[in-house]
Amino acid sequence: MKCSECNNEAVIYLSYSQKFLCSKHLSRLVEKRVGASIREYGMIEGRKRIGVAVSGGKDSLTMLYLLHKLLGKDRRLKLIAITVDEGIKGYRDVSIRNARRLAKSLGIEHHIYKFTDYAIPMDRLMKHKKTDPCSYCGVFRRWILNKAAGELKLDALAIGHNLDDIIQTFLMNMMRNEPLRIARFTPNGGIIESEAFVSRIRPLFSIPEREVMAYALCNNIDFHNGECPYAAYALRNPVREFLNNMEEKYPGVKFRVLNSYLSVLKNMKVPENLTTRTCITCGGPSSTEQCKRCILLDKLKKQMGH
Amino acid sequence: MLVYVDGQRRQCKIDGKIKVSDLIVRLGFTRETVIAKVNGKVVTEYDYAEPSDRVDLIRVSTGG
Repeated sequence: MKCSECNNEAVIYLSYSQKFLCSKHLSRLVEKRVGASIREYGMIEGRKRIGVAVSGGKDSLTMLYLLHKLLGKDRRLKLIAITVDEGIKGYRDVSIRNARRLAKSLGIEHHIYKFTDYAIPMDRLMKHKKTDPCSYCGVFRRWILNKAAGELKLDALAIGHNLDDIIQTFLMNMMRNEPLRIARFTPNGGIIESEAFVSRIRPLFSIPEREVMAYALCNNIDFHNGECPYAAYALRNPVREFLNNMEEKYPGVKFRVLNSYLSVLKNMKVPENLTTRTCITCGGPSSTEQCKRCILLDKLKKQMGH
Repeated sequence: MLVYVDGQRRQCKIDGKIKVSDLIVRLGFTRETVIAKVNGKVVTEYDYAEPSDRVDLIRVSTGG
């Protein structure tokens, strides 16, 4: 098939806009959209040190590549890659190699933080606890990323959430009746301004997952496409399947859900008394006396006989 | 036709030329969940694969 914009061979068909795009025009579209999101949401405004969370998968490496391409020439900005090693053998150890390679080839400083040092490695945890690994992993990973961001004096931390991730999370938060989580999960920052908590930015939030993958393949980004051995336990999987089926039947549905999410965000009334406290155990930010990471860690240590 | 999913060989008996979208469905996937390569080149689901081609399907949603 030919590209709708030129005479080159198409690499993707975008059913929501009924367009075929070649590698060059797909790349141009993705870069334009990401650039527009960064500007529209002021993701780098007044910020100098931007951390980029890289797992070694397609989303995070595409984000690193794009941020370097779009912002790399700005001498006022410094990009710093961070990888969290959750201790999943045959999965994370492999993807870390991809992350390391890309960061090195782009000349970007790269730091690796391990669950072994700050939590319980997932392989060990899963020997004792067979349910809901994503909740544990997510809490520990977020805590470590925040710690890393503090240590590396980052002004913001870029997370590779794509459009699919955003709308899946939006629906999951509605299903769980957790509206405050919707307010927290924004393209730029959260609901509480706190020095202890580094703002997350999501430059890929308007790019569908399939386009991120096609962009990575067309730009020879060497990513790891393995599946987390513990992902089958996640609620995200049926939600993802539902949205993919809907998009197949009603093209454009994912963008419409994204727009609904952005409208909800704009119109949400967030309680004014929300503040951050300091965890009595680790000193990190927390909404309660002890942060979620320390609560889980204490509980697990007891269960595992430490 | 040699068919691979995420680099793993899949048995798939196909006689003659096939539309990539039909192959995707035949292997139990949907258009939204895979990207196809024919002989190393990324193609759309509206393209065709010949019996002598190598087709790679790369699943979009992996990770965790």
